[in-house]
Amino acid sequence: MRGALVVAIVLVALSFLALTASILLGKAWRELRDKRRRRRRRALEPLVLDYAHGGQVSILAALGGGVTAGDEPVVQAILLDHVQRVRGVERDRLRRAFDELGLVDRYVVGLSSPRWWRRAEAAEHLGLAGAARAAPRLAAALEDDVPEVRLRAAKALGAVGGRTAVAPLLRALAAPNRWSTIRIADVLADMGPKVLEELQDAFPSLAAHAKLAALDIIARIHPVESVPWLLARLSDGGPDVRARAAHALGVIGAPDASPSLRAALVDPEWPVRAMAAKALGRIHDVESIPGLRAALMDRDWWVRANAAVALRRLGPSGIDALEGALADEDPYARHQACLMLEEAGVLDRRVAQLVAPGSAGVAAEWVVARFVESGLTGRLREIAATQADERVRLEVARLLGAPAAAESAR
Amino acid sequence: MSVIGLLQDAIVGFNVFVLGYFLALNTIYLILFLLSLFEVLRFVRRTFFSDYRQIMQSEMTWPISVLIPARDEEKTIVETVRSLLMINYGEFEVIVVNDGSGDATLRRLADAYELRRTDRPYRRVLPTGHVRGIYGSLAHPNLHVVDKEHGGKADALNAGINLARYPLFCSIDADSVIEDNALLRVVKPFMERPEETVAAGGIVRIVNGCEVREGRVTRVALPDRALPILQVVEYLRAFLTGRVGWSNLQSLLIISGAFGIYRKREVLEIGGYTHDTDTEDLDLVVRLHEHMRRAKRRYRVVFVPDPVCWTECPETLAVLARQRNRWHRGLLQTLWIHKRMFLNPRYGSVGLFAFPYFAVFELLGPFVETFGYVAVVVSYVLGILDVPFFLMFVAVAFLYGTFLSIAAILLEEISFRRYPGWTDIAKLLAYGILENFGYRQLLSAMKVKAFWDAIRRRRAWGRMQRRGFRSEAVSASR
Repeated sequence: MRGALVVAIVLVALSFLALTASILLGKAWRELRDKRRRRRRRALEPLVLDYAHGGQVSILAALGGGVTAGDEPVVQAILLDHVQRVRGVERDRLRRAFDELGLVDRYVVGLSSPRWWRRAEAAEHLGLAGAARAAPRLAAALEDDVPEVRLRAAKALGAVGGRTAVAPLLRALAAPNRWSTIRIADVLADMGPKVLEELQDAFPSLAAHAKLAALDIIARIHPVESVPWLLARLSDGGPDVRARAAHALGVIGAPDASPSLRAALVDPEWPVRAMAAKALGRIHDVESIPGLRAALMDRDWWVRANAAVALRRLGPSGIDALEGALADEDPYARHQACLMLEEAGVLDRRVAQLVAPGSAGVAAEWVVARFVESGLTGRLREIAATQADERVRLEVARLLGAPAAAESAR
Repeated sequence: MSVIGLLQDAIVGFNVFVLGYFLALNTIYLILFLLSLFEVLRFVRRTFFSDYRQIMQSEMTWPISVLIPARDEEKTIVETVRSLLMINYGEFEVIVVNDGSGDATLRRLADAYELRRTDRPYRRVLPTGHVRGIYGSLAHPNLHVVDKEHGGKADALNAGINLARYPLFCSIDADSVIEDNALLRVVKPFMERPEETVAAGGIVRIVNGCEVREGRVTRVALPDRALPILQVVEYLRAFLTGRVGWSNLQSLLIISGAFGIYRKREVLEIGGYTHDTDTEDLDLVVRLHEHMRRAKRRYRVVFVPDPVCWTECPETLAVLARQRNRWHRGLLQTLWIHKRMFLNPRYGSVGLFAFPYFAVFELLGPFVETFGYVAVVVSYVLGILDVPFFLMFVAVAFLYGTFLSIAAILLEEISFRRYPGWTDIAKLLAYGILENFGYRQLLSAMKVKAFWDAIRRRRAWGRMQRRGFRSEAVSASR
């Protein structure tokens, strides 16, 4: 037993020393390396930028004829940083530098690495380097076992100008991973209107959640030419598709869509009604006020809330409609109107007008009295206690029907 | 046989038990460390390709309700809320629940964020204490404050859940500061496997000694005092080699109350937080496991190693003792309430591995350690102590304890490297050794006391004494 303990002591002590040494030596090595790289970057960055601005015909000439092994990661980091910041001729020159330095060949080899993160990194760098000649290899990487590699390859393929990326990206939308869906959607949206045709063609065969992602992609591209196609989606059998189509129409802001969206306010499914209300607010469709006013009485809270927000967005006529809803027979509509008027600061403005002469004062009293009737008096009570103008405090207290409050306000 | 003889036999038997216990415990620690090493390296590589910017900007990212229960938090609440309002995330709301504070918590919030009373509807889906008022912010439309009568942290969180609009909610302690990308990192498991993920937690680090400006940790440094540094080492070990390992085994029993994110649907299904234990965070996760296993639904509770939340730790022994007393009482209460899960195959790896581990090693470990010291003294008095063997055993135990602490520091160094200075690393290494001489024994004694208190049904929250975040490093103000 003692022998075993001695062995254990030696083993644990050696492990302890090895761990400590690896922490200290690793840190020392990293710091020395980073210090050297920072120093070399200060020296090399002006040379690379001089080349990018056209001061030299080639990157090798700019760097004095070649790059040492120690400087190569530094030059590569400079190129990767700046190629993402510049546009036009300067970016083209920086992209040529990747090829001239042999980095593109190295990245292509990296696509075959047994380590997935090296493959993903190689694909990412090929995209940044704009390596069009690597497109076939990137297309092959779209079949990689690791989703991260596929995604990087697709993004790179999109960046080097390949419509070939669209179909595999659409296939990848089918994965249930929402994290990856968002990034694929981002790649597709960044590719712009050129993806629309394939996206719309592929739409019927997409999985349910991929259809929603596709509608969001279209919303982000803002294509006015897709409005008829989106309007047709408002008749889709899936309520979520109808809702996302309504959302997309609101984001695009197409006035032509207003009649269909007004019709969607009475869709049997609440997500569609809620999104239609939101979209009408975004389109600033004043003609939808009666429909939105009716939506304030919807049985679903989200529809009521979105209708109230939409009315607020419609400006003075929408606010008038919200104030009109304060006298509605429907308690839900009254409640929602109260909340929105309170949030929009209308209640505070009306309270301040209580002591105003003429019709403004009468209108203000009518609004405040409706708030009191609705029972939503939290804000009013706060005003009654904190308003700077004593006359206003007294008026609010009077309307609240609280003699004690009036007394304390006095 | 004489009494002395019986005592000698008992002590020898106990020593053999301790030896076996020691071997089993350290084997588990080693396995957890190796699992953690694998997982942390994988996490770091995947984080490199995470595209947080796209996730943040996407409308498809799930919105989150951030809940902050606050009681007498006037010193830190404004900074905490500010750090949350500035966080990198698309759509979120911050709900502060003022749980009957006796200080100026509500007034500080009202002054800082232009609060005014609103009539926002409050649906009492979960039963809570009386809600006195709901406030909205003129400056920040996504900030809401619930003012309610005191009902405890669990009650405050339930009130927050009642007001929350979004499908995910995140609970954050009022004395905590979270990093810019923390929500994005911790929501990732929900986005990757939306049907299965029900809860996720992130690493909690100690803010004492760091510089905090405008609700942001702007300079990371270790505290000057010994007690907080010892806790830094302890937290690194607990989070990086403990929870990461348990998460890998799909048996994570605790998500820190300081920073955790949950799917609201499942939390509502189990009735929200309860007042049955002193550690509502542990109890909630255990009930989620129990509920999902009984319902035979696929699920997972995940620990993400680096969505950093910075929190204050106790700086005095008295406060530390109260905190640990509550934690250990809570562990005992939770294990007792859910004792049917112990070694029950119906609950899978949670019942077969996590529960026995927490019961035998976390709950009873302090007893074994404390009685071990007593047995050594008695053995010495009785003349049956094999001194060379004892010294070698102590050497192995202390070296192994040090090895685990240093292993956690190594994980930190190869992955996140939050402590950049050489002095910090030297301090961490030194305190990784020193914690075995006094601190660990002290914690064991505190836990034994907690066990005794739990049996006597003494419950107290063990309040922290807040120093508040400073714009200077904590050390500079001493």
